[in-house]
Amino acid sequence: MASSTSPATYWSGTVARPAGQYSGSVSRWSSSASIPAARRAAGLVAGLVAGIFIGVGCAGADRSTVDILAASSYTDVAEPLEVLLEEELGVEVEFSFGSSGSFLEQIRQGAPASVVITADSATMQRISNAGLVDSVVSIATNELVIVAADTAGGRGIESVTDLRSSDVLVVLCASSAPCGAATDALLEGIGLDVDAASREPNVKATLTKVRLGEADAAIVYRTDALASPGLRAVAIAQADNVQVTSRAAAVVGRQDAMRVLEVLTEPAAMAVLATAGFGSP
Amino acid sequence: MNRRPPAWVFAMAAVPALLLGVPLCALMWRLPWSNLGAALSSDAATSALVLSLVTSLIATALCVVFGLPLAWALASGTGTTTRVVRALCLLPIVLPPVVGGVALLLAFGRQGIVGQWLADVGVQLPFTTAGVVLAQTFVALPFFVLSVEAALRQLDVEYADVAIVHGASPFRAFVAVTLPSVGPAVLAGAVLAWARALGEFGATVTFAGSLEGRTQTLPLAVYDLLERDPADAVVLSAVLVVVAVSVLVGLRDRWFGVFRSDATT
Repeated sequence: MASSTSPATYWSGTVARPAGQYSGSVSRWSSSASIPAARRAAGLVAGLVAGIFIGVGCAGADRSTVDILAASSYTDVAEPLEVLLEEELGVEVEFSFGSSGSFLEQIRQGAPASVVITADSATMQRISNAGLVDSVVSIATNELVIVAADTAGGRGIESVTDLRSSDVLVVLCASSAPCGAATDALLEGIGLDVDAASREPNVKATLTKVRLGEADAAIVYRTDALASPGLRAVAIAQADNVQVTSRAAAVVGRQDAMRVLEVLTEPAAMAVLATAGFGSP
Repeated sequence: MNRRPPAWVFAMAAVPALLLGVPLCALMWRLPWSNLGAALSSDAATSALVLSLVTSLIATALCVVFGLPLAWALASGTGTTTRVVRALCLLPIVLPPVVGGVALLLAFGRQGIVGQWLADVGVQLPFTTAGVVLAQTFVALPFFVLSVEAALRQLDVEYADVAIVHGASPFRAFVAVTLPSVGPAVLAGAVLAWARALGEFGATVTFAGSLEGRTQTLPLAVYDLLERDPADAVVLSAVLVVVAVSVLVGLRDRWFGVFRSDATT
């Protein structure tokens, strides 16, 4: 629970290894005049800092790992996908998860990702508009569902309108996360005003609050409900439901990304995604 | 007179100084001056700012009110209980705040070992402003207690003893004699605790969730904004920096007085 559902989805990229050795030389200390001392100090700082950055840069360059930045809704399906990708590509594949909403900034700041998978198409559109990715493909669809805990408030929930009851403690995704945007669209579409106790940063954090029994119900993706057998899933009428299309794309300048995208759109990957509850795009 | 340290010491010292300074400069450098007003007057920003100030100040008050007796008890004790409680006091400093939040949920959540009794009498802490205060107090308390306890331990107990000999109760002696001499440490501890409470993120989002106006404090608003509008997030971050810096500057004399060797004895 702790790693995958940590509410604070801090960026968990490859840990930069510190520079192995320091190349500058420290001359023996002497009580020389302060100007040469200051100059020597400045040189040392430059050497030290350069050493650290060169070391970190090297650590990042010679990896044979393909890093995939994926929406947190992919947490449960990552392991079989990783196995499939590693078999097909013959390289190490490393997933890291977060709210799709945070990916734009992460990639812009140089997150070591070759492929990015967002939970919805609007988020990918923003990343694409910023010129950070190309070769966008749709890989799966998902839809919203209610999960209810086995609590006094949760047992009575039969439909989305029951979420309005003041006896039910509801948590929803934050509007900045795709699941929250979809939830807003859903509630707006049926004209329902739900008084949420919290707007959690991503779908997994939202789910966790219900899993722990702290909240009675939440609106999450169908895949999340399937991955939580302890919770009762309450379907949302097809006519009201909001479907999201999950997209994958290659981060600009990453040659290793294209093969990943190919594998992700092959029938084998679709089958893995279907098992987890994703629909085909 | 201190001898000047060798050059390489300054070289080494510059690295951490830059590490601390550069990110702050970058934050100020990237500040979008043109939409500063709009970013600050948005509902999310003002409610987060107000909520943060109110909750962190209440948390600080709680730290002082309950932390002083705890520090006094710890400073006067030597037994196993004292050592265990002191270790407990250190724990929130070492613990990742998210873990603290999980622990708080398991204790004071609706299904928690204490929380289920609270729920029976109608008290709910998760997802409430009170929950935010509790999370902040949990992470901030150690800074106050350890700061005050260290000062109390260094204190010469004779003055308080004299007061007691002359008929003052131990409480009276503590308030009238001991407390004034550890005043700077109390202030420093309170400021540290307040700063920690103001910046609290992990325990808050885990235990109290994030809802504008109720539990979304400034750090949570920054995190949320970073995904929607990074420029506004920078503005709110700068607010946190300015608030923190003004407090440090405002208190600098008394603040640094604590750490001067001649001030505490």
